[in-house]
Amino acid sequence: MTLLLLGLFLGLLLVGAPIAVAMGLSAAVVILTHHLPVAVLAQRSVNALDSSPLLAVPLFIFAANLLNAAGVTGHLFQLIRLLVGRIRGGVAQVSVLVNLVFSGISGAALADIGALGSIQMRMMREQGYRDEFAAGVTMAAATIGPIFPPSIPIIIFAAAANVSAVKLLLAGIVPALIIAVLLMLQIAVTARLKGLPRDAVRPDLKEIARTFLVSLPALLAPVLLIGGLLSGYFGPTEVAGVTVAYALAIGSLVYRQLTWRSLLAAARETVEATASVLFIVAAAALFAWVLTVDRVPANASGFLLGLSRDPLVLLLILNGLLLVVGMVLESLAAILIIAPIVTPALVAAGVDPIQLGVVFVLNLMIGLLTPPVGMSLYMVAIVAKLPLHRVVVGVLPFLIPLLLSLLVVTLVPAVATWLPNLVIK
Amino acid sequence: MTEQGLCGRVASQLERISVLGLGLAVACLGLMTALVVLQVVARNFFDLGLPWADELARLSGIALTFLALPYLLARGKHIAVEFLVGLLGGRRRRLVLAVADLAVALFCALMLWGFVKFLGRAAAFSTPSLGLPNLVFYAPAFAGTLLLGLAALLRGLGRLAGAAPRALEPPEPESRAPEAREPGAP
Amino acid sequence: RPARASDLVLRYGHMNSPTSIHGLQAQWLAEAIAKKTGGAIEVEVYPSSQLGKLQELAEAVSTGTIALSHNTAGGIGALYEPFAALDTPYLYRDVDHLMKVMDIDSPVMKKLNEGLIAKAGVRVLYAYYFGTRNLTANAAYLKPADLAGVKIRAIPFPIYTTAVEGLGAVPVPVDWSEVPTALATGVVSGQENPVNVVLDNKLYDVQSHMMLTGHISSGEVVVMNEEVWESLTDAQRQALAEAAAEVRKRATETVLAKEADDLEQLRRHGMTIVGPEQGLDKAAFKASVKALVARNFGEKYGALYKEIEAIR
Ligand code: NA
Ligand code: NA
Repeated sequence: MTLLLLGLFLGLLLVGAPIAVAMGLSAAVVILTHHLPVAVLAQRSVNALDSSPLLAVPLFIFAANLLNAAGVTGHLFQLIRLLVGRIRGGVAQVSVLVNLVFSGISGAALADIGALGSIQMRMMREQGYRDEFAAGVTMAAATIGPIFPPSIPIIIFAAAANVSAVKLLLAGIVPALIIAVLLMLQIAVTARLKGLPRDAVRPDLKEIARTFLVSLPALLAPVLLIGGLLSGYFGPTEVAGVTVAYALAIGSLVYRQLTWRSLLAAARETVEATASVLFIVAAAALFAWVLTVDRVPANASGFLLGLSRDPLVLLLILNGLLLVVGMVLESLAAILIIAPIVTPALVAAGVDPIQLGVVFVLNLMIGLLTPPVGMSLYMVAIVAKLPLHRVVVGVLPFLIPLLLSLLVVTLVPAVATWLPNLVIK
Repeated sequence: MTEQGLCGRVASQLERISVLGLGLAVACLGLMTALVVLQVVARNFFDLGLPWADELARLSGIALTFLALPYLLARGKHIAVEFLVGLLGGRRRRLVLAVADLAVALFCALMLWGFVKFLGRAAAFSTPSLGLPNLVFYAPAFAGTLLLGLAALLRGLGRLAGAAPRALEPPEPESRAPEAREPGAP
Repeated sequence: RPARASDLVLRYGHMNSPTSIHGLQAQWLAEAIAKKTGGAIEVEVYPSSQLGKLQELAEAVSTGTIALSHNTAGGIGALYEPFAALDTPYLYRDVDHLMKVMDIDSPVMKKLNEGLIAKAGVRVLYAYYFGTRNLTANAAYLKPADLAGVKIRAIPFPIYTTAVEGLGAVPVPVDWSEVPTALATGVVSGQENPVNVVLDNKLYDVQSHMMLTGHISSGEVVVMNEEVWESLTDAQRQALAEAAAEVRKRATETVLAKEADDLEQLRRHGMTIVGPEQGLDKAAFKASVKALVARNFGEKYGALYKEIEAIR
């Protein structure tokens, strides 16, 4: 049953069927051929979406699209470039920092590349950076986005594993900072070795103050978000809704760039992105149902716990598995297929589900950068107008700091769990 | 298959309906946002919990997803792994694309069968807060799946025959802005 | 996986953890059925919402996606509305009364079961004592007036929101996965559940007080798809009925035995238990809730309430 399921799934992926259809059709065919109830197709797929925490997905995407439409990104770039552009390799460092700030608004790596990528590439190319290096920085920095809250994959993991989305979102903050620091260290070393350029003009304080004031409303969005989660005024979905309201307010009142036309465009883009993501969630529920009925999670638990009962050993095994899976599988599909299979065993062995969620998502966000199936690779290749193999070469060195971050999050549970446990309860 | 043929006309009708679906999905997004913000305001300022608003917001989320599916197909915006298809050219490429389309159509057909089987028994059961019959709760998902299936079938058959109806073909890759491609996908 | 020796494999899906009483009783049923049918019927249990949540599970039994599940009476009410009446606040005189009413051969249950079979194709196998719901919060609330404007998490079914509103509080829907966090951050100030749920989910970490309001005593209803039941031989039905009676007794006794012990454990974890001796005015809570129940459900369930009352 499971072999047929996986075979069909991979076959459908190869012919380029939508990932949701590859999952859903393979499940449907197994259900049909094994005389399982057909009603489950309608029931499970719709019910998988009938979840309040999951509504945070469209709302966070909407908020990011609105802020983007309000022209926030331009101001952020300007401010951060004024602040750090003068150090060696400055514009590369700016790339990382802008991604870090923008990650407090946006919830997905591809959204970050979409919103920031072309500006990043242009900035670095103007200063004569090699294309490969610039593409590598752009991709690696976008990994921060889905780790720092808000985060679409983290919300989806939380929904799939039935853990608190609030705690899991907060758990990403420290790991995201670690990634940013390690990326900046790597860039600093490269900058010293290769003699990368710096910005020539010295910015005056007045200009910094002015840009800061203009950027302030945008910088406040993540503050509102994290403060809101902790305040008790909002649940996770509500905080996303309030961020949308905030984005609408500053977009139309402060930045005055938000017109009816751009508002509708932002809404349309939100619907497109949401539907393509949630379609996968719905279809993956069918896939997971078939796996469950075939006792795959139960057997996998027995197998894993037979290998070891040490949480660290199990986490390291999981890392190995997810890095391989991340090469060939799209990230959301990977989360939705594998999380229900391995979570029971790891939690039974004593792994904190909060740490598990961050490890899981970080692995698969690294998977966005690994060939053959790496959505970030494809996207940067389009944005930078580079052939895929040069993009791959460019990102290779940056896998070092990312894998190092993964190791830290795996070895030290507190990196993920300390902050949520500190601020909640 | 020409634009003047029956298929072409059906295709452009489908395309028009899919745009309508997208419009409805955008309305669902607006409704959902309003309902979520309403709950915040009601609870924090008026000491009111609104189970019905929670339920309606969830329904909007489901409707938003399914109603937008046909539009995503026609615009080539479903998340898919296309690198293998990208290696192929000419007839082979068209054939593989047709297989992918027919897979979508087959999936939708099986889903619709599932809907019929499920609703055959469960149509009269109602949601807890609003008391909406399941028939209403599942209707947007049913409609979205039906339209997606029809559009995929038509395009797949068209590709097998030589060329898909233009109304259902995604724009050429060159004209596709990178920003517009799966902006929210992780 | 070894080849199956059994003739019939039945899927039993539920939303509780495998180690909770409710998860265990599903396992007990599987074992009892295997024993009594000599292994001819195998029940595979899928815990922890693996196959769906609350209402979805109830609907899944109706459509035959799964053969067996358990749910609250309120949850079964989604399939056949009168069933929700069994979860009415302050309905039973005591647990013994509840068990008599929810015996499948009681006149009330017989009638409800017939309605459920006709409307939804779902049959009640048995119902066992689930527990008695109490209010938890971060302060002592002694009477309904104390709870004015206090937000309490409630399951978004009318019968449960009525209970919370009747207690004097504001019912707020919160997804179960977010309940501990919502209590910690203060999105809601309290929640209501039986003691074993409070203990199993470590809610004592985020709640300081438990008020022994005992506002809903409820039975958990174990249901089966009617077509599956119809397909069984008389001997198999007999075996299932025996297994059901056995597990009903064992599960009820376990819940009752654990109830006192769980309360003691909550106290040891630092929770303040607020009962009549601490000034809890249970009569006032009861009066307030009953008034609201009469207003919201009197017309719909009034006749049923009388029949339930008549059972001795
Ligand atoms: Na983020
Ligand atoms: Na990859």
